[in-house]
Amino acid sequence: MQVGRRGFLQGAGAVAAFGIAGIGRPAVAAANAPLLRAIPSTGEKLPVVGLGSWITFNVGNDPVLLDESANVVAAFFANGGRMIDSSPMYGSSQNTIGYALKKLGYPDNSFAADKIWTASPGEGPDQFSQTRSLWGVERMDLMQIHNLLSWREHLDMLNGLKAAGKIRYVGITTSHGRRHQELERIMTEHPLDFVQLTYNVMDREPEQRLLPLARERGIAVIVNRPYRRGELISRFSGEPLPPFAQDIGARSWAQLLLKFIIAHPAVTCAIPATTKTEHVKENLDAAAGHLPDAATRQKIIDYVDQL
Amino acid sequence: MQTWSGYSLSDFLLFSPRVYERLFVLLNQDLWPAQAAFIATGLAIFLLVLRRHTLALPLGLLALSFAWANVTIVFFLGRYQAINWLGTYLAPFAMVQAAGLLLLAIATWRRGVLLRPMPHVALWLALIPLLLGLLAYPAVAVLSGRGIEAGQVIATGADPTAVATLGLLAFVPSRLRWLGMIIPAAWCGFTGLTLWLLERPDAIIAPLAAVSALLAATLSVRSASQANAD
Repeated sequence: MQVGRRGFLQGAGAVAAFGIAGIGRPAVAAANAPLLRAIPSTGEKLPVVGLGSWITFNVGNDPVLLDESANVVAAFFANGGRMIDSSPMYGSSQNTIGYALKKLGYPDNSFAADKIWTASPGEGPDQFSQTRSLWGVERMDLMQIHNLLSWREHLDMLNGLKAAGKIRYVGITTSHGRRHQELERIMTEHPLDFVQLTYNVMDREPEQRLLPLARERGIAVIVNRPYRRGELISRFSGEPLPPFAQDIGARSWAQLLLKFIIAHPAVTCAIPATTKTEHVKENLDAAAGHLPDAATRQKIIDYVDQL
Repeated sequence: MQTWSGYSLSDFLLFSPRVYERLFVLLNQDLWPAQAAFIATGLAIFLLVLRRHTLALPLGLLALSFAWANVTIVFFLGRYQAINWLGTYLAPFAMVQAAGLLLLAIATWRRGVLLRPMPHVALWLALIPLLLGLLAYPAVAVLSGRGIEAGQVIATGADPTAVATLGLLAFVPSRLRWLGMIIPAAWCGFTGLTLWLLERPDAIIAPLAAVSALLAATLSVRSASQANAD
């Protein structure tokens, strides 16, 4: 059985027919709701699959692409998603999210996650204000320090915003496996609600120290680059799915790869990015069915390693 | 150093091929039919260059000065900065290029500076970027199936403007040509890399044109030095 994104979607006509044309206030989460996992610092539960915006939502002021992005966001909420993550680094992505949220009437269930991305500590507050303005929201749920940039100064500022009730959670991010030692030190020495890092079936270094530490310290984990920006899906889509994929309800490589990530008990939310409504549903569906246990996760690793 | 070592080149690409393609579709829709006038003007100047007309250099530099100013406004500030924050920082460089070309145009006109005589090979190496800047981008857009509306046009897109600028600057008989070539050559490298990451067939045009123009300028300088020595 060889199933890539396309194969999965062709086999799921109902998914392909998902309401692309109609954007309105999204319906309550679909019956096939994704698994929820608690944010350790508060116990608030979040769906384990969120929505990233790197590249996919950087569409400038193109009206056609803005509407297509709004359709993706609509599909995300309609299928039970909550967390959308962005950064000032991602071009016009924040503006695109703001456009979509406005068009959707600012869904109550959205969880707004963004970042401070500037080396200058003095620019942090202004960047936060601009982020809120671009999203069109009064309060951000989560603000993170992008790639540890000037993290000491920004952390103080974000903790101040949290104390003032302007944000609910504080986090810090890295990606591509960079600066894990420094991240570990920050996680150990400072109170954090969230960390964001790269973790997938090929990039498993966080399993050694960061993920166990997050559990120990009660820090929620957001996983970025779950597909290495699509590279993993392209790489494996020509290969047959392993026989045990069926047992955990993975009907495509995208779902198998995502299930591998969100099955890790330390992971709170993975944030794949996409421009296609069908992929949004496919991703959230991966969080709705069975998840692999530790033995099956090892089988996934072994299977992928021999490809 | 550790901060950057984990990145690959593609990690610096902020937008998708479709977004970049549609940027030019929308730009062309907004500006039409100005593009026809820009290409016609460019072709007229190309003919003046071929005929070694006395006004070819000042008029060409003046037209390119306008082209860079327009590119700053409609491309870098009007569209590009929305998808790449680098656009905000690149715009001043494009404006400096426009100002520099204007000063050079005025200087060449006032002093009656003519096109630099070139050996045959150097002449063609300089003419190629000029032609590529005028016609190659719309042609490649059509040939690659993106449609002519997705093609960059001189004076609205940075690539053809930079390419044609390098071609004309190769004809400038002054060391200032090298100074004038810095910004367009740097853009040619940057855009070549960007389009290569986007897996676009026109990725090769700008770097190729830059090499061609730089070779033309170098060969013509060598030829002049040898003539002086003789």
